[in-house]
Amino acid sequence: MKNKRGDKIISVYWFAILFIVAGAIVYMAALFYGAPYDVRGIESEILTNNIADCLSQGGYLKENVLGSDNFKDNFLEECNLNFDVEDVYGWGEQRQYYVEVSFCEFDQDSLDGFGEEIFNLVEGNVNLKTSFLLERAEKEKGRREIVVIHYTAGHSARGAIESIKDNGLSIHYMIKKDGFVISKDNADEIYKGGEKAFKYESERADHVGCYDTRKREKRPKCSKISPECISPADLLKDECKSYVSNIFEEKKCCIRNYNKNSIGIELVNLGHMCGSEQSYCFDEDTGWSCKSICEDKGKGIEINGIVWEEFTEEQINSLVNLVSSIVSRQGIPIDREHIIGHDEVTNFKSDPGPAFNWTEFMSRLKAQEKLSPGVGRSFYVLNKADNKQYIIKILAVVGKTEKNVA
Amino acid sequence: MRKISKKGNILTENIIFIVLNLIFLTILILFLFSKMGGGAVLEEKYSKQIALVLDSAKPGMRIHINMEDAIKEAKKELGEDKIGELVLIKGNIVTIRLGEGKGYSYSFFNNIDATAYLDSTNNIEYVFVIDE
Repeated sequence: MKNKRGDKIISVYWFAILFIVAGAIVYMAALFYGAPYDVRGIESEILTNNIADCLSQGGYLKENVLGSDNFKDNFLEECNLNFDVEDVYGWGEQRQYYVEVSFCEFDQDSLDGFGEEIFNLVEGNVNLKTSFLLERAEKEKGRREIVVIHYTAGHSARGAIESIKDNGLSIHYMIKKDGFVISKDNADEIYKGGEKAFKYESERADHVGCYDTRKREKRPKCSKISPECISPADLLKDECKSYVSNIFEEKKCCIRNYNKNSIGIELVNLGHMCGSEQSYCFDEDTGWSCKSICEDKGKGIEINGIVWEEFTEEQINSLVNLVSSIVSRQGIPIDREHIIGHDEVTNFKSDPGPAFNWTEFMSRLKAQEKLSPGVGRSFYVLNKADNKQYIIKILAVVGKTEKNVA
Repeated sequence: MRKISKKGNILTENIIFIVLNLIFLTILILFLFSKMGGGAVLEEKYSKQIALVLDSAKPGMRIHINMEDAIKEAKKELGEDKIGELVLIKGNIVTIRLGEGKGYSYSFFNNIDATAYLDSTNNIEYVFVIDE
């Protein structure tokens, strides 16, 4: 009898738990499938492309853009756009779109290329711009803070991915010499199983070691290494070689681990491998070796007797575009405090090295920052009429709210 | 005799318990499936997809979109004779209606005149013609 009552009580509890679990599943399903699928980002991209096509063709400015005021006065009509939507869910009143076009002269002396503004066109609901910027700032709060640039110290992406994987390390992106960007999504195509060496931006990747502030002279108790032996080039000196073996004991000098809040980007590049006889500096298939780089100084930059391999133009172009999109997504300020080299945060690391032109890279990045406000595009065009270059910036926001989307 | 009756009771209770559990789980699974492949989801999917296609379209284009799953759903809900009226383009708004409800509407910004009709050769595709 006692057992029977106990069974009944268990049954009641069982059903109670079942109802709670079922309720949670129903709630989650209703929440997931009830929420409208957001395509506003795609719409903004299409809108931007349509406007870009309306202003230029094949890199040349269309004749009617600067020719008369008619284009500016009837911008939407000229570009075949219609922002007046029939009032179904109050759309007509709310105005769902916002477009801003800045048309400027190209100024080669300016850091970002923007010269005098010729005209500025604004159409649609201006409130959407403010809400878009606020929403973006909120979304990006507290995410990645730093971008760290590395070189792979090798000649192939495949070898670098293998090495990263074998050492239990990881990275967010890798840029090949031809400018191809490898990420977690496509790493398997380059090297089977290579996906394991990559992380998504939202995940932590182990790509930087200990951060030692000795270089900034803030932690004197870690100063047992002679200041003459800190730079990678110094490590080749005989008097510094003994310090190299102590690298792994230096973890106590670690004061901050940058892995948890940084994005790591590897550039396929040898770095300062010149003269090295190590096996990974020789490719049996092609007969290529680090030594050949040293002999052919044209391929590298010689600094204090060490040859550093140059980065390709394609790599730097891809890096500018990649970092630009990362900082836009993550809300990272474009300065040298937030975009740094591996050598600035880890002992005995030299990447990206002196062959990496920081001044040029940061200038291009800053120019790009002004060019890409998240949803939009900027581009240079040539006007055949006056043979002058112009720069156009487009910002497009689609602001259909949940209420009128659903 | 009394002993047999007790055994019978335990068996009945257990069977009822299992049946109730199964009913419960079946309802839950049916609910999830209805949410996943339901008309409302398809209406939203196709109205947005068509709006995006029309945003990118240029005059003179003919666009074919495979809407087999939506047409199947409409056949079930509205009947065979109504499958040619699933897509309505009025002004700058695309409306998809797969059931007796209002359907789902989504707007597009491209200033074009588009007409939509069911491809009668296969009855699974809709054709969108962008006027010159």
